[in-house]
Amino acid sequence: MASAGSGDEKAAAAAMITLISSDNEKFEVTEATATLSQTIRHMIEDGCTDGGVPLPNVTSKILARVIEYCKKHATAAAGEEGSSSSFSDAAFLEVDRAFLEELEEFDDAFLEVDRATLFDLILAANYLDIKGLLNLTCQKVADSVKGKTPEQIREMYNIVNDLTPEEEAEIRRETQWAFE
Amino acid sequence: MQIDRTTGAMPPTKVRKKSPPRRLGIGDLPDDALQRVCSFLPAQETVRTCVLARRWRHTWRSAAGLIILCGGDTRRKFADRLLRARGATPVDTCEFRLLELEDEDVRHIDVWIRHVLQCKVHVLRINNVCIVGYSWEYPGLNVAPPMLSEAQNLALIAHHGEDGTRDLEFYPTFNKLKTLLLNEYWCEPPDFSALASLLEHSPVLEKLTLQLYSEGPKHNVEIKLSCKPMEKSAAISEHLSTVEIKCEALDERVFNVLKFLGKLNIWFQFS
Repeated sequence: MASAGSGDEKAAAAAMITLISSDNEKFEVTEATATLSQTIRHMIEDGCTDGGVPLPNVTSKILARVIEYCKKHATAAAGEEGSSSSFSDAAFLEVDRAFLEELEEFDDAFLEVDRATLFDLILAANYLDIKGLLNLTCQKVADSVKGKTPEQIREMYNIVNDLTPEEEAEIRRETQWAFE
Repeated sequence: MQIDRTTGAMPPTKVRKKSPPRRLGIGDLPDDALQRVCSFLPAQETVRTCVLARRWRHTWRSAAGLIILCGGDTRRKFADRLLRARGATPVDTCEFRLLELEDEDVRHIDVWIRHVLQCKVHVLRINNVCIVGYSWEYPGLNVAPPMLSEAQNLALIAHHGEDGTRDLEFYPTFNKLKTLLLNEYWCEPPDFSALASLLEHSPVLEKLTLQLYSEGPKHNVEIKLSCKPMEKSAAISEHLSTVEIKCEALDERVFNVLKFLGKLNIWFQFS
């Protein structure tokens, strides 16, 4: 990121990465945005991004959302880096707080999706290894099951209980301390 | 996809192509994601997922995040059993939520914290105070002697053998100081007199950061502590709302600092 910030146009142009979705749509993103994904970061480090990065597991619809997330969070990270250089600047606390609030609002709005899209985002975040997005989306699933009984969770997410009554009794005995 | 029930015939290919792909369910998520979901639930609910289906039986054991509710006999017994059952399984983040603590709880929390430290916890949260997801850099900061009493933001990074004194009795009160960054030089056991003295001399301090045994800017561990205004020790600023500790590892030395801060009521929120 330090080299991309030089203002050199050629360097900036060279730092663009093309991502290709499973339905063959191409997305041009900056390296700073792309490298929020550890998977892509490693590909860049290994020099295998010429001609674009094919992402056969991610549809264009989901990839567009993932890029939207990465753009926002890459910008925030860059802004934070800029603000950190001056500890003695009295405004630095305010800057950080503003960033956090803005990001939080963005994340809340970002999560307003249907359940299938949420799972798609989790799969994409997992495949692309984007820790922030993975945490955000998994937290949303956790929030939805919080306070629910196992029966309610099964019903909510169509989980088929494939345990025999004997197995279930055994598991409940083993973990009785969690059901008291 | 619809099948003609009378003839059993499949619909024409054209229609099949148009039908939307199967919608994903929670069962399509990889184990890593299920464990991560479990990490965001209070520990008791996490363990209870073991009866959902065969696949979930052991998911709770590998969840890298723990949210442990503390306060009262039932919660105490649960936490004891949970940590025993998990053993040395690594913990990435651990959050203790303190609710209506009894005297007995404090002793147990001490043991639990030591336990998760053994499990190489990276982020320890106490009382639902979120860790700031950023690690600030403090490049080239050093003690700046002139105009100390006028400073609003101060970073005191000192090392043994350097010129300077920890004896701050001769310093004026930092009447304007709002943010203060200190390194381990100022946090010496057994009595932490330098830290105590600095806090006493900073009546309007809002934020205290302790960067311990770490050169920065990368810190493995960030701990955020908090204190309730009503119960703040008279020895610290009534405006102090944020206390952060940044260090490489949560070891005995850091734990001693935590204990000292605990004595100033920075740490626990007794309700």
